[in-house]
Amino acid sequence: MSGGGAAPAPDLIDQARIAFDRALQRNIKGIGYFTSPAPVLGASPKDVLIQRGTMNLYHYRPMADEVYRVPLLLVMATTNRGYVFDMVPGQSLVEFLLKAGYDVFMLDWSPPRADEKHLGLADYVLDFIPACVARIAEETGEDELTVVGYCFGGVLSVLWAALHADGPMKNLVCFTTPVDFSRMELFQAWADKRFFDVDRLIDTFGNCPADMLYAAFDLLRPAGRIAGNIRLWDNMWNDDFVKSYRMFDRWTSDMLPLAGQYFRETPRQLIWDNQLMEGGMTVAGRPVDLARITAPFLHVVAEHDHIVPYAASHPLIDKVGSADKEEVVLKGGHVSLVAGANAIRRLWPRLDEWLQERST
Amino acid sequence: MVSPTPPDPAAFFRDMLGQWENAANEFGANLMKSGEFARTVQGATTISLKAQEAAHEAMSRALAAANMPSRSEVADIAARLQGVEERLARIEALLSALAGDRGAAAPATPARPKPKRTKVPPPRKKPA
Repeated sequence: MSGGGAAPAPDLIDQARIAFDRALQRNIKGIGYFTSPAPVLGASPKDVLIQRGTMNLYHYRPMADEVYRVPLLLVMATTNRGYVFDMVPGQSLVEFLLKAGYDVFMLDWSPPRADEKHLGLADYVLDFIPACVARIAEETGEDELTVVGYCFGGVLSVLWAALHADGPMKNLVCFTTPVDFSRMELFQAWADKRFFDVDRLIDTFGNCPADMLYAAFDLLRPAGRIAGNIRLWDNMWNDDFVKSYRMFDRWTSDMLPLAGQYFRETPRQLIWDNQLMEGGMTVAGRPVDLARITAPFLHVVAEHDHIVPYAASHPLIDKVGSADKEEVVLKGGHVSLVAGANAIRRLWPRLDEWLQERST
Repeated sequence: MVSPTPPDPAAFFRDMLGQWENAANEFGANLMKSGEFARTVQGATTISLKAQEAAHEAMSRALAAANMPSRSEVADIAARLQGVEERLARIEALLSALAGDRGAAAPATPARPKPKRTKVPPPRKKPA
C-alpha cells in the first residue's frame, strides 16, 4: 500500500468524468474481451521427464546460474491443473522459485483415461510420488528433496512422507492441506453416507466426471459466480483486473476428473471415517502415522479458505512429528493463497525465506 | 476548510454487491448443510444415474445387435493405443540413451549445461 497521504477527494464533475470514461472503456474493452484469445498459462520452459497416463513430471529449466543443492517437487492437487503455480510471467510461483535459485519439478495430472479407473490412493502414494522422487534423484544426482503439496496434493504428500519416514525427504511444505475432514461441513453434508451412493456413481461413469466436481466446488459459494461476473463488468476498463479474472476463471473451470477407485476410497476413508484425524488410515494395508514425519515442516493456511476451512487444516501441525515445524496463517482464500497479487506479496517471499536455509 | 466528499454511487453499489454476496453465500451454505438438501440432491443424482445406466445398456444392446462397438469399447481401445504409444516412446528413449552410451550416435541436441548446486542463502538482514 502507498505510504503517502490520502489523495484529495474528487469533486462531482471529476467523478462524473471518471464514471463516463469507465463506461466508455467497458463497452470498448467488453467487445475485445469476447474476441481476444485467453492468456497463455503454464508456459515456463520445461522438460517432461515422465508422462505416464494421468501422471506428468515436469522439470523447469533453471533461470539462475547457481541453484540450491536440494531440488524442490511441487505436488499438485488431483482435481486441478498445475499451471496455478505457473500462470503468466511475473505471476508465476515457478518462475519466482527458479529466479530465487531453486531447481523446480512438478508432479501434475492429466485427466485419467477410461482404462485408469482402477487407480486408487495406493497408486498415487506408493507408485506415482516414489517414481517422481526416483526420477528427480536420477536427474539431479541428489538424494534429498523438498516436497511442496497443495490441497489434496498435500494430503498425498503427507501420506507418502509418513510411509517413507526414512526416505529422501529433506523438507515438507503443505499449502492449505486438510486433515480433519469432519470440519469440511459442506462436503460432509453432500457426501452423507445415507444418501451418497459412490459405488453407483463410479460404476456408471468409470471415473468421477469433472463437471460434477466443478458443480460441487461452485456450490461452495453459490453467489460467487454471479457476483464475479458483475465485478468483471464493473472492472472491464481495468486491464489488470480483466487479465487476472481470465486467468483464474480459466483455471477454476479447468477441472480434472478423478480416477474411479481413488474417488471410491477418499469419501470412505477421509470424509466418512475421518481416518487421517481419528487414526486408522491405511494405504494398501500399510498404517499411516503422521507422527513419523520428522523432517522440517511448514504448513501455510489461508484465513478465508472456503474450500479447506482453517479448522480442517490446522490440526495437521500437531499431527506431524517434526521438531522443526511451523504453521503460517496468511490472508487470502484457497486459491489467492498460492497465486495472484496476494500470493506474490505474502506467500512467495515467506516460502523462500523458510526454504533458503533448509535447501543447502 | 475541507469540502464534503460527494457521495459515490459506484462505491455504494460495490459495497452492496459484497454484502449481498456474503449474505447469499451464507444462506446457501446453511441450506446445503441440511439433510433435506443432501437427500434431495442425491435422490436427483440417483435418478439421473439410473436413467444413464438404462440408456447405456439399451445402446450397448442395440450396437451389439448391429455388430458395432460401443463408445466405451472404442474409448478403451483408444486408451490402450495411447498406452502402447507411451510405452514405445519410453523404449525409444531408452534405446537412444543406450546408443548414446556406446557412442553409436551423437545426441541430436547438446545437453544443456546444468547450474552448480552450490547456492547458499543470502546473509540475513540485521534487525534495525
